[in-house]
Amino acid sequence: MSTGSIDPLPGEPAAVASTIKPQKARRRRFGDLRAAFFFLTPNLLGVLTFVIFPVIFSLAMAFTNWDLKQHNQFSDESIKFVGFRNFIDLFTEGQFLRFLGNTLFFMMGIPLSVIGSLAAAMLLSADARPKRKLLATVLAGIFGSVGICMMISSGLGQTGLTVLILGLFGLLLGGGMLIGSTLYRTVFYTPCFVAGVATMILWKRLYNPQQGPINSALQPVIDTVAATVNTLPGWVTAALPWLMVAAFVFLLIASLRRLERWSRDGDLGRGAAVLPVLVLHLPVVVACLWDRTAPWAGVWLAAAAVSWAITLTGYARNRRERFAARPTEGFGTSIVFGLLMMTAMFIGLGLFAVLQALPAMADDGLDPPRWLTDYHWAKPALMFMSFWAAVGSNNMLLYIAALSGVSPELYEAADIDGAGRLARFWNVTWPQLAPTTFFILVMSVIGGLQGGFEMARVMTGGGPAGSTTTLSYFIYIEGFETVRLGFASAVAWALFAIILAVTLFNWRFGNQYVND
Amino acid sequence: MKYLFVIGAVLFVLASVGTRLSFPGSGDGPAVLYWVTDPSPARDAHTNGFVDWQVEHGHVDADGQPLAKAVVDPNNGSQDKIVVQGVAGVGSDIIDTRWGRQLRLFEAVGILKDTTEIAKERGFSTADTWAAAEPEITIDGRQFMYPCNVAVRLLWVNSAMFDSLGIPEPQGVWDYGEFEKTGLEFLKRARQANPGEAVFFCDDVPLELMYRSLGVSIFNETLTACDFNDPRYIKTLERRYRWIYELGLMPSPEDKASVAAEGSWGGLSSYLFRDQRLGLLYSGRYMLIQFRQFAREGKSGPMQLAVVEPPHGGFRNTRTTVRGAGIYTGGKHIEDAHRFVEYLASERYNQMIIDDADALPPNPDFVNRESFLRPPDWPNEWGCHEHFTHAMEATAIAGVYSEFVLSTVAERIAQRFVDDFENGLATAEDAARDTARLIDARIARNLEENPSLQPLFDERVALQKKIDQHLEAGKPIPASWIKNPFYKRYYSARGMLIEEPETAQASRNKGDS
Repeated sequence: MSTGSIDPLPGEPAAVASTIKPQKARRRRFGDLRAAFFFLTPNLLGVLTFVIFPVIFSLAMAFTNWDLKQHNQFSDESIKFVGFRNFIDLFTEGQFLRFLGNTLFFMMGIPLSVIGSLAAAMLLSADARPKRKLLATVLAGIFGSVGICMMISSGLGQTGLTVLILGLFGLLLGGGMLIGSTLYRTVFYTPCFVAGVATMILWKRLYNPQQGPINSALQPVIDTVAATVNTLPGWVTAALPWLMVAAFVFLLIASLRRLERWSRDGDLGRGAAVLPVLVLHLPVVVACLWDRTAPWAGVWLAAAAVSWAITLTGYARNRRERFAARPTEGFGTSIVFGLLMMTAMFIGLGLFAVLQALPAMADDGLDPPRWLTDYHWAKPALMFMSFWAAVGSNNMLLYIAALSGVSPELYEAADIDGAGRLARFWNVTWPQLAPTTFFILVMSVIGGLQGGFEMARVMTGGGPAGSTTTLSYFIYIEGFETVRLGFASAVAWALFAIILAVTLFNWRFGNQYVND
Repeated sequence: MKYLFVIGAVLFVLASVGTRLSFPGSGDGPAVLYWVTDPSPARDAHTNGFVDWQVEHGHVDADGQPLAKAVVDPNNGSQDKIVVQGVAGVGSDIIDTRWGRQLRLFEAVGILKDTTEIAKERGFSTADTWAAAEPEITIDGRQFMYPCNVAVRLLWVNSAMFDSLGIPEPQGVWDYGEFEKTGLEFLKRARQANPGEAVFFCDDVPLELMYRSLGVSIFNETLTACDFNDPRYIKTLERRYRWIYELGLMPSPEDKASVAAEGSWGGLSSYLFRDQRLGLLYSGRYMLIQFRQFAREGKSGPMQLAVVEPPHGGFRNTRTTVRGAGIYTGGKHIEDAHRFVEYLASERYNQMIIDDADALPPNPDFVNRESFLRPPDWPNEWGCHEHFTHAMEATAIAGVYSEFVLSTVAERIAQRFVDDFENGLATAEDAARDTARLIDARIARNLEENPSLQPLFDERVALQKKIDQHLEAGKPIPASWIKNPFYKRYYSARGMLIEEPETAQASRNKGDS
């Protein structure tokens, strides 16, 4: 390693020069270090004072009974160490689990937003040819004009805001086609650099049940649905829910068979299969207990039985072709798969209940949702808003960057192999994007667990009935409204523990394909 | 590079020193009192008035300059900032405190100074403000703030709208039956006259007034337990639901959701009222600020106004609220802060509140004058103002606050179950029972965490038993036993209270009348 040696001065003895050299080098290095230290000091002090110290201090606070009502600089009462009392209270008071549930519910939108970001990135990376641009512009113009005409003819012409939004949409579509993807990229990224509170107020207007453009646009659709349902023969409306039962059964069978195939291929160990299988049966259990679906408990149980029969038949038939796997092999992939399919099955279950009740509801006409003030709609409303913000966020930029890094040779090779568009995406693009997807997922999960504060505070105040209170808002309430600082710190550290556990889980089980 | 760094550091230090020196009150001159309050344009006049008032009253230095001046700090007025800055020792000298709810929080964290004695000496005690506001500015008889203004909310009547629909406008005192009957007729005619438009009869009759009207309060007489597990509260929840969702007499939360989005002073209600789409507006005298603004901007002519009490279900009551000024315990200019609060009780300040129609002046001595009752520029308001002073004297009751649980916590719990009921997640019975159960559980937990409250709690529980025995036996109850201001008024109105030696304020009010 070079020590930065200096040549002896003319006339200087070589021995003296050799002893001076390291001293000078050391002095210079020390000087450099000192300068670096001085440059860094302001920032280091800031981090130490405003980040490191509060973090450590809050950890200590989490084990105390610090309540500002009793312990403050104007009171003599001393703060007491209470061990894990605050953490135990988290689970005994009930609110923590409820608000954790709300937070997790909001996180169910993460896969959708990741898919949305990817789709947006792929669209914005597509290189349209001039003729296609022209064609797209003409089409956009036609669609925009027809859309506006339809709205006017259906009595929505007075809803100026809606028409304006549609007009803007058409303009952007046309402009993008003419100017190029730069305009789109800018527009898609807009939600990310517009102040959060401003967009939330805008969304509040959009969700306004009476004057909001969303319900104004929904009302004719809902009226049409109601009219259609009322004119349908009874046997058709009675049959519709059974389509959902069929979809439910199909999803369960397909999921179990997929797990069975992974198991056969040696990608899924027996131990690792237990939890995903249980997760897949949760919708069946809920269907048997939920009062809307419980009368058909026999149907759900039969669906489960049929699914098992088919799966076990396949298992028995392919018994000899099995590859061995470690017990924990493939846990991450299978549990994520299980959770996704479980979500889809729950959606099917919900649609079953809706279709069951639809004829009776349609009799009196259907009303659009009371978005932010209805217990059942407030969460989906906020989720949808988050989805809108997330699609054009930094995730999209990351995907655009990652897409530009995919080697064209891989696509050429796929073309030579005769791969279609879908196969090209599935076998080339998607695996190449795996590291980016993994990073985005990890960051989104962390952000999802920490998020929701602004939304809750600005849009709903955490209501109705606490349905939109997330853990971050709960920390605020406990810290600044109830002023129980010890308890609020415990909530914050419990949240940290959850985030850490989920992130470790992701690293342990989620990056299998990244490393491949 | 290092020279650049040094130059940067020197400039940074110089800029910091310069900034510090530019702070008000850094040099010679009057002491500067920071006042965390809202950014109302009227605050400038209030702070200038403080300077003039000191000069008038000889609170000046050797050069004839006022001893202090007040500087409005509108950026630190949120509750969390006040608490955090206060407990950190850097709070503002004067803290705007909204209602007794915030007062109790600020007092609990120790940032408000007890001004009981000095207030008596300097003329800003409870005897110098409205009697009904006393529970909003005191805790256990100790005074912690003095009102900047006092509000009581009544129903503003849109006389022009009632006239145009040919419906006699409500007068004086009316009950729920009359309210429903008038409201249904009003809506029928208004919808015929304005088909397709959203029209409302009344924008709000608060739940609190409604359950109080049936004789229930959030807490019992001694404030030791929640009283909501009561058929009268259940009935109130159901009635309010009917008014909003079944009869459409009042806007639903989704209608109100747009109020926040409007972001305007007075909210959507004032606009609906102006545009002849709302018959009754529940608000205080301060709504005149918005009405006058409409007229000044030419968006409406002078409105035809009248005022009526909210309907009652047996016991007439209205709610008083206070925006008060508390003195920060850790302030550097305590004496000047006392003087500022003394100024709030002065004629100069009260006249400004009267002229601006910013609710009621804190000192009732100044309301019985022409400028209050008949402001020369606003003849359309004549006959309205006295309703508010009368309500303050006759029907206004302050909020009910328990020492054993923070109001913010209790109200959040109550609201949660009201939401549950209105969203069909719980029956009214379940909502009432669960509200009481959770608030009681919170009280129990607070006692566990703060054992110093236990002796007071035990004493109160014993007292409550005696009260319950008296009630069962139909015997009147000594006033001193009752800590809940609502029950004090309720039992008094029913002749079930043994009046004890009166407070100075009560006797003063009687003397005035």
